[in-house]
Amino acid sequence: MKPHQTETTTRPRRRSRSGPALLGTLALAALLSACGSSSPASSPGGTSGPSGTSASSSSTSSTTSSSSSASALPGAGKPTIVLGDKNFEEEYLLGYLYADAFKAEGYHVVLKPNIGGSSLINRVFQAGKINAYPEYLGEIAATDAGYTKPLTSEAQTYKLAEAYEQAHGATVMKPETPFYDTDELVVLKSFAQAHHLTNVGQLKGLGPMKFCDYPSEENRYEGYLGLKEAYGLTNLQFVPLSTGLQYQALDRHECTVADAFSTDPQLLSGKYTPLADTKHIFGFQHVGLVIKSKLLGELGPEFQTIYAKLTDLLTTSVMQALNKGVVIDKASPQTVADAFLKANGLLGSRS
Amino acid sequence: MTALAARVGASGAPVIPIIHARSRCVTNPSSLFCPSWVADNWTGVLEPKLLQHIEMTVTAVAIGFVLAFAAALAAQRVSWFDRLFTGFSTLLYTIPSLALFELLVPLTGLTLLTIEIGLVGYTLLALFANILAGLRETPPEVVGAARGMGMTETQILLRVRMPVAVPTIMAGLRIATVITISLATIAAYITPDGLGQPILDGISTGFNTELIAAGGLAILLALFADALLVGLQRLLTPWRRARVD
Amino acid sequence: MNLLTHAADFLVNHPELWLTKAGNQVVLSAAALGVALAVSLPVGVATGHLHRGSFLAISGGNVARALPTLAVIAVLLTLVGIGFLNIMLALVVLAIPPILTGVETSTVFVIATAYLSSVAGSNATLGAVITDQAEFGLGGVLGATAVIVVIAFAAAGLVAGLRRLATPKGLRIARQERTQMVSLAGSRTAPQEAAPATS
Repeated sequence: MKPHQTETTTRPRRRSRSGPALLGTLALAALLSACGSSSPASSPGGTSGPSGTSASSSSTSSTTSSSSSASALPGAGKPTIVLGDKNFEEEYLLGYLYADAFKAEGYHVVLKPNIGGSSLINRVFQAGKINAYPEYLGEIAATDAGYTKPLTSEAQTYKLAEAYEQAHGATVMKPETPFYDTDELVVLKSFAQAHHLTNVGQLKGLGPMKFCDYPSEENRYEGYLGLKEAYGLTNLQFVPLSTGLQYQALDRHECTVADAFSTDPQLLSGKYTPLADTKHIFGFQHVGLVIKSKLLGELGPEFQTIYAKLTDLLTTSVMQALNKGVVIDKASPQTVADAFLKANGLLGSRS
Repeated sequence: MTALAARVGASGAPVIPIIHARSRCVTNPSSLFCPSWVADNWTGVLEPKLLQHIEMTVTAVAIGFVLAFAAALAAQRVSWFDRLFTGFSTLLYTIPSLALFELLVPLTGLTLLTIEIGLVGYTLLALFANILAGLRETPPEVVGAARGMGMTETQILLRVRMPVAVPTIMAGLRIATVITISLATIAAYITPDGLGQPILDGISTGFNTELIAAGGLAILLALFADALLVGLQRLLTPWRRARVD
Repeated sequence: MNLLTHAADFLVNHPELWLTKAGNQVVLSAAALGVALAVSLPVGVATGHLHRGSFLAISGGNVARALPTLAVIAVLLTLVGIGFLNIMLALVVLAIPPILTGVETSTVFVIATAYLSSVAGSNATLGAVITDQAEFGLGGVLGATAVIVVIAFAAAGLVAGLRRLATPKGLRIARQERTQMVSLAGSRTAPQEAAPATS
């Protein structure tokens, strides 16, 4: 109910691996100075993404060399975009997707990958060390704007996020991604078929069943509490489990229902059926590019066009597949991002 | 390219490219362990994590050793300090690691500093108890004789007490090092550093190879560190070996 | 200060909750220690009696500690599923190694780690409060930690007392100070390790 305060450090959340809102000023100071330096290799924890750091430095240099031949492109002569991203695979992917798509249109982009969690990257953005970053709209509403009540619609979430950014000289670009990365209830496909399940509410009449989720979710509205309060699912018995083990637990029938992330690559296997969250207790976590308003004006209308073209392609199944490339197949985020851009004709003359 | 772009524009559906796995066995979830993945990802994933793990461990044990040594010297002079510091370090030792890290995060952030504070805390008990016990192993009459020969307290410490204490201190150092290597894997909950990160990744994606490789490295590291310290002890106490030979 | 107040509030306002969970934690820890003792005592007696292999037993045991409990839980999931048995066996793996160097060390370690039941399918222990800040906040984390610390101290004291009872009186006096000093740190490795070197 107060996600920005109750976010624990113990759950490896892909969407928002962030600590409590109050981070040590020491850490922030160190981070800001690291971001201010010109070398992308100095970004904190840069070694954690699979070959993320080395890939970013090579891509930066390749743009510089190719920019002279691309003077006819819309990005030529426009101000530099300093693009940041957060500290997990999906964000590394989004960073490379946007950076390399903009570069292909001649924009000068410096990518600063792996900056930190939601509140940290927001402060780095406020401090002007980066001037754009892809962010989940529900995170802006809850973590940055401090909105503590349950969110009711995608439009309301966007409005809250946009109001916060406008007040800070920035804007959330439209459209937001078709995909969203929220918690999601999953069951075995065989179980869903046997009971004709498509949404969460239908679990109600099915008698007692075990529900596996990370322990910190037991008393959150965006978790077990919401399932009981909004859906009346008092038949669910909470079983606390380490994140990542829930798929194996489903396979072994240790639990009937499990909490997952909607863009988990494991969901591509076809063994599991996600249940629709019709009462939206898990919120709205579509991604939009947060950008300084002044910079957006200077980048011109073509920038909006190329942004929209790429963003519209980022559906849930696309993100699951790209996450699979990084998380399961262990390819580097840039390799995966560029393969996607190339296949969709967004890498321009460089491909 | 234009043809592709046109196709996208027409249908509106994104094209999902086939992403080739770095190793063939990666795509087979039932395979228990594939050495080729380890070979392919040694320089990219495992080696940097191993080095971070060693760095974290060495830093924590070194700081812990200096603190524990200073505390042991103090405890030798002031009798109540022994009980105080033993109580303090036992207290730290009994705090669940994850709880300690969680309590530290609001103060020191999601940083390596948080990790190091925790790890140093866990080394103190083994180091302090053993250093103090080691220093006390020299019989009082020997210390008295050394004093009678005109040795200063510093000389007595370095030339009389320390050589006698080395085996006991080294035993404490071995325990502290192995404990630290183990607990440093939990650090991955806070910062993506050390072997704990690929272990967590392996768990969360059900990829056994990564889990086994990183977990195995942690155990090998502990074995190696333990053997290294035993070797160091033999070097420092040549008279013990001589007696056996 | 605020945090301490919250921790105190938690302990005062929810005694039945933390007492139950503390009780479960003790039962779980005792079960794990019992199994670990049953497995490792024969090994300890054998190495002690034969005067060989103790270096291997101690080193090997010590080094097995480097295996993260979370990884053990994940592996056990595929063998025995989740719940009490899973976390109990994971704690046995944790408990065996230090038993060869000191039962108190094992006791403290196991009690301090039993909270991990909360990621292995059982919210019965104080781990429920430690891993879930949503309900009781950091104050709850601190309060639950305090309870664990007290249990660990009490259990270590109990084990030390039992061992003193089992030690012959003459030996007891000679060793008394030393044992008290170093037993928790498991530094009985020192005399044990010296055995193969001098024999």
